[in-house]
Amino acid sequence: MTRGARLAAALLGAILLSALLAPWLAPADPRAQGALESLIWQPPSAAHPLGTDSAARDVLSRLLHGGRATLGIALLAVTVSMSLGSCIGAVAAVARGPLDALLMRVTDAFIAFPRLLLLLLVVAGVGHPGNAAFAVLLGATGWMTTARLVRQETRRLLATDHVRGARAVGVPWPRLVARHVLPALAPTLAAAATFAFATAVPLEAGLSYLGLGVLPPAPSWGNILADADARPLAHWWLVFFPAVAIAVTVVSANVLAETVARRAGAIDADRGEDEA
Amino acid sequence: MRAALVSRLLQAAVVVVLVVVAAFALIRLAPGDPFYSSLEEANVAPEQVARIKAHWGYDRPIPEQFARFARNLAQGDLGYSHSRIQSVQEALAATIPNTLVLVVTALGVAFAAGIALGAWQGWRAESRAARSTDTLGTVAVSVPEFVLAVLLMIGPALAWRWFPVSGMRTEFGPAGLAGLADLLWHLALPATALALPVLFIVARLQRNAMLGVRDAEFVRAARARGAGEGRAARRALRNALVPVLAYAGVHLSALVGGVVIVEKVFDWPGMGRLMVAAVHARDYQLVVGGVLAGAVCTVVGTMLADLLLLWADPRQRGRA
Amino acid sequence: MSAPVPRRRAAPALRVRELDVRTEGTMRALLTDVNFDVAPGEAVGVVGHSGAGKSTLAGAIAGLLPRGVALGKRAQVHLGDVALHEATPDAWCDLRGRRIAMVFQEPAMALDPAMRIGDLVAQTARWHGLPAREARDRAHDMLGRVGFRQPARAARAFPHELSGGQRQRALIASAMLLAPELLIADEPTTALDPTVQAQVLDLIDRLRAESGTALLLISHDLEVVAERCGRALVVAGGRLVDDAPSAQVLAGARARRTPIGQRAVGAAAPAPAPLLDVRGLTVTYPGPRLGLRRAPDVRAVVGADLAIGRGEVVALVGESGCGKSSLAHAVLRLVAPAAGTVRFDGLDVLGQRGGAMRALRRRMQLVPQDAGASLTPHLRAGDLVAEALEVHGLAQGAEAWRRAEALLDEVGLPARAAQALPRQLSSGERQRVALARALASDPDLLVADEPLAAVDEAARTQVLALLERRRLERGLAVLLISHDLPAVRRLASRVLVMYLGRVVEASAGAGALSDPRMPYTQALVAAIPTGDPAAPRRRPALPEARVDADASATGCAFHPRCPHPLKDDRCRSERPSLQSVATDQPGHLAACWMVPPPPTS
Repeated sequence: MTRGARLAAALLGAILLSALLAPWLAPADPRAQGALESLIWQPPSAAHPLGTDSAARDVLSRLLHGGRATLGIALLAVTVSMSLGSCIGAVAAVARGPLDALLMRVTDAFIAFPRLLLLLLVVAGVGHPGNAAFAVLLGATGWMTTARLVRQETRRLLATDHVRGARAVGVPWPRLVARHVLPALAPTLAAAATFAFATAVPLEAGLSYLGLGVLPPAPSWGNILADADARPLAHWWLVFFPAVAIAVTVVSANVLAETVARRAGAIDADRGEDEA
Repeated sequence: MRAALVSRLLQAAVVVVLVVVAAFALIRLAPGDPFYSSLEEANVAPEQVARIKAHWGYDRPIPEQFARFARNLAQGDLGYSHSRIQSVQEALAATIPNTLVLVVTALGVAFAAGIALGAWQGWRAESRAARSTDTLGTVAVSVPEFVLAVLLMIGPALAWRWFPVSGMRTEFGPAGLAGLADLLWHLALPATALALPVLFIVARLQRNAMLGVRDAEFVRAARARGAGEGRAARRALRNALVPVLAYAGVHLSALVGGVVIVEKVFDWPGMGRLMVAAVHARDYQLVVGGVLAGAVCTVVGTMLADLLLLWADPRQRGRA
Repeated sequence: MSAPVPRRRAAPALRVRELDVRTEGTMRALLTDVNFDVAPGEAVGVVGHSGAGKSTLAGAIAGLLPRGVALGKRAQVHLGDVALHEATPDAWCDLRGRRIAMVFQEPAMALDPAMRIGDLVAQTARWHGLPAREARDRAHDMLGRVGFRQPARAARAFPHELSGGQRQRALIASAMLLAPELLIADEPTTALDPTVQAQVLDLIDRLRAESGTALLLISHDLEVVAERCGRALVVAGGRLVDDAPSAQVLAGARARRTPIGQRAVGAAAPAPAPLLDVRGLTVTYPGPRLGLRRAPDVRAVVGADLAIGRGEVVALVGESGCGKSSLAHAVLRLVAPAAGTVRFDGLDVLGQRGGAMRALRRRMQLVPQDAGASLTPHLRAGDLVAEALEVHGLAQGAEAWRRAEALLDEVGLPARAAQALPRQLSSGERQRVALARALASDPDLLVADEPLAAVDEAARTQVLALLERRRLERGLAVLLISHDLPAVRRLASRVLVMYLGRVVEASAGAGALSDPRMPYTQALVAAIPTGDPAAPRRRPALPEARVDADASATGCAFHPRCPHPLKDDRCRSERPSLQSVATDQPGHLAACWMVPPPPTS
């Protein structure tokens, strides 16, 4: 692992950890509104290191708890999308024929809808369903690329010469899939999951920013940003800190994903290279 | 070649049909029938609501509903927007061109600059200059356009006042060439926010492709025929474009999604901003119309990207 | 030796002195102190084992060394009067294509996939200053000279639309367009079928004669070099160890070749109950998709009969695309045949299920064509061989690993090989791992698909010796698929020749190869390089196969290309069946109307 990748892993780990430990790390209750009117929209100070928002709530606490919401939702969404996508992709690859064609055309149709628009449609129709359901919906709109990837990779692996060679030796299907196919699939899936996470985080934040995701008073990185909307420059701390949090999370996840992807690709590329 | 063209057109047509079916399914399956109930909740006159229900076949059996739906769509009738008190079609027609201006400019710049940057990074990968831009690229590629938009807003727009803060044109502004300049000035930040992540992704893809190709046998063979660095690089790039164009086709849908938030941040009068307002107002018919329009645009764009790919990779012309 | 056009200049076309090539950084020497001359119009071969430095030598002369590799400081290379070792990049642009040209091993990779070949050939001329129209005309003219019958049409084709031989011709056209003084050909025919090989080499000789170009022919095939070049340079370990007339070099190498053992004696008809009995096998593949329709099915094998007895080696011979691999895969039931029966030791192979099929697999094993690719990249060699034992219940765990190591040793691999991943082994070593895996279950039948294709001379000998040993000691029967005729001659007790999915000639022993009757077999055998410089002129000229050739519905499949002077309408309309060719050669059958049946007594 390169130095950059190690840094990324450390940063991401720190962020995830801080989100997990938010209830213990946060100095104040994220929903506690300040007693005095004069405490609203205070820039960073000793009392409130990251400032206060429109209801005099401590931004640092909201950032920590907001991370819990945003990252938690993103992780759940990724779990849903990876599971759904892997199943559909695997079934399509193994079943072949008409079932494969049907599944792929359905996937194509869903891919045609820009993901954000699809989410808008769902939220418009259903209203806001609560965080967990929201996460599931997020995942339900993101399975398509995974399905395509899993189908493509599974088909490719099943058609490789080494799977055919193992068949010729007489290796039975269960052992073949477990020993010869799945280990090759794992790195690709790991990379895909990390990329999916890196996509889900800004998506959740974006929707919360638009007022369609996590609703106040519950904090999320997105709706902290939205709080500054009327005067973003004057209330720069409400914009800057969540933006940095999102950026660092996404960048770290992408760098990690790329390292894993490169490892997966390298395993592939080395196949069949001649040393003589 | 003709077979390949026809097959791509047909594929696009099939996807459009499926999109319409999917949209219909989403409308009918939404609990509480928001397609109609949103009108009632918005206090639209009952006679009008009844007329609309009849027009879309509310009480009819499902197949007939779908037939009406498809027919209305084909005629360009997408419903009634209660929040804007105009037909969905009119609302979209006013805003889609503005979104297209933004998206096409952003994509155009992103691909042109990205290809140039990536090709240079790949061809001269050993040079220190190229290597230093590598790290920048890895970071820049990941920052979501949402964050970029917001940061560009508080920086160059608000703090330093280099660029306008909102809108597409200055109110009562100049026309003609000066008007074009005014448009570009307003376009600069939102387009940058959209373009930057794409630019660096394209550059990285192009760089990797170039790295793979520059040692290829046919490049060596070109040198053997007398090609110098420039000519060899050009042949290499010509072949290395293929994976980049393939990316364009596949990821168009994701690129379109980012427009919505950028339009909101910069108050750009496009379809995205319209959609967000529609969702808040529970103007379901407008949202459906917008989503359909977005999907169709994506399909068309993907097909165009596919055709471009056919030009770039002659090997795909023979197959379907 | 092909006759060069004598030039007035007496000075050598190429003069190489003290040529060193090193990797930058580590300073590892790839070539050391190479000295030789090439006279104008002369043909000189460069031979040696893979990795000895032949391609490096070619790259060094053409100024096309890979990244990180450079000429030593003392090296002096002169092309006529120009000092190549001091040439500037601009000078190289002028020299390459005009005075030095190069032809590469894999024509599929050496042609720009996004360029029509007419444009590519014309490009050479344009880059050297000719106006576009004249360049195009000369390109068309050149394409005609290299054998394209419709040059204008060929010019519009993309490389992927051409066959291997056609691609190589296009490359040669672009190389010889401006009549260079020196042509460097780096393994130009290794990737091609034998008949196409001969055509391509003939073409190079012809063009050279017209323009007086000198040739530096790099090849690991001594016979080819002896036929086409007067002199041979032998490279080993980065040094030039010999510079002598090629006939002499060939004779020396032949004397050193280790004998394989008793040549298989031609047997009479196979034992009454053959181990493997295949009747009427037909294998088809669905055609590629063309838009909404599908092209008609590709018939890879049609109505093939085959029988192998215990301890016998039967060879299946033919060029690429003739169906031999498909036949092998169908026999092992790795592909479902469309028709026919396969019986192994009396059992119906195609009808077995589950555990019974697995038990059968233990007894019939395959060494696939690209053996290296058949090894799962993330498993170690030892794991792969041990798995074969475990799957068939012959050993488990530590015992299996031990026996795997023993098997790897038997195929001549070092101890470390068991722990190695496939990518850490050379292609020859991977071939032998696949062989060890196939032999692990002690099969009765081994199907070896081109086992020698990727393997260099030293490993070849070892593999052939191992197969012979197993045959004698354990009665292993082998279905040997190869277009390497010398190996077939040495090993096989029976030979079957295939063309476009059908068996067109068969013989006991290597009769089909030593006395071929059917015109295709004759052409095939004649195309194999023998090392005799007079051989090329005696060969029948065979037009090239069409890219979309298929087993035609009526008539003999070979008739469009058949050079037989008496071929007639019957060849075109009626398909010949296998018939005995002579009463004194039992088991020698040929499917050809031109071969008279023996008189019935």
